[in-house]
Amino acid sequence: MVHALVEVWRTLAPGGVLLDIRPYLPFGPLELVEGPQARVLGRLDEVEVDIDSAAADEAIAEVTRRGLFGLDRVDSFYSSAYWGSVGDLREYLRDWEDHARMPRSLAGEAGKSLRHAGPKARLRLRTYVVVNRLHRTFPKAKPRGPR
Amino acid sequence: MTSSFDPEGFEPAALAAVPELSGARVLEIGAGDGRLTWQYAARTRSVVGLDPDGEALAYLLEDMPPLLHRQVWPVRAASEFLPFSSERFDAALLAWSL
Repeated sequence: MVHALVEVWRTLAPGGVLLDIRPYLPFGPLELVEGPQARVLGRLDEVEVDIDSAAADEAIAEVTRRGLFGLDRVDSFYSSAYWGSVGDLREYLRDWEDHARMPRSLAGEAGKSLRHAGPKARLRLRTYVVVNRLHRTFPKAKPRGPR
Repeated sequence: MTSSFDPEGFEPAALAAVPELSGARVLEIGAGDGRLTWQYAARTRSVVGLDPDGEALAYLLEDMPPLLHRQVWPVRAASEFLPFSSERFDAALLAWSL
């Protein structure tokens, strides 16, 4: 990760902006949403510690320590994703299989809830997303790769 | 029924709050199928959408709005060795990719 950030530093013009947008796990609870109403169905099985986020945070900290980037600000928001079927949600979660899985009991509950709800009902997962905004600075020494 | 992501528009709002993207030469790392790219590309000078996943980039090409055909350029590569000259971009975007 540090090496990738050093490469970004190299390709950015002096003063250039770096935006780091990424999710932080765990996901919020799985909900059934129908109009303005939301009902919690349960939680996914997730890893207790999100190693990837911790490593990314450390990489950002490292390149700021080295003087390659200055951190301007940090923003955050909750991003929502909606699905009309349990199958579509399962498909999405394939990309997260190292971090989160849907227990069979929760899948059953979600399917049953969708069947009994109106045609506009959806399943929703919310994700906490952080936006780090940095700018390229000028280190005193030549940038080096990861230690 | 189709899925939808961020229909509330929080990501576009976060990008809209970055005036430096306007008229900029942008490198988007992890462009994937262009989901994030389409939200800001129109106001840039150009966007290079980088991703190691050729299949995702094929979707990006397929979904590209006609108005962006001369503005967005997909490139298949990994972020550890960027195939670009130094100081080529004004802004870089790590799109769910660090």
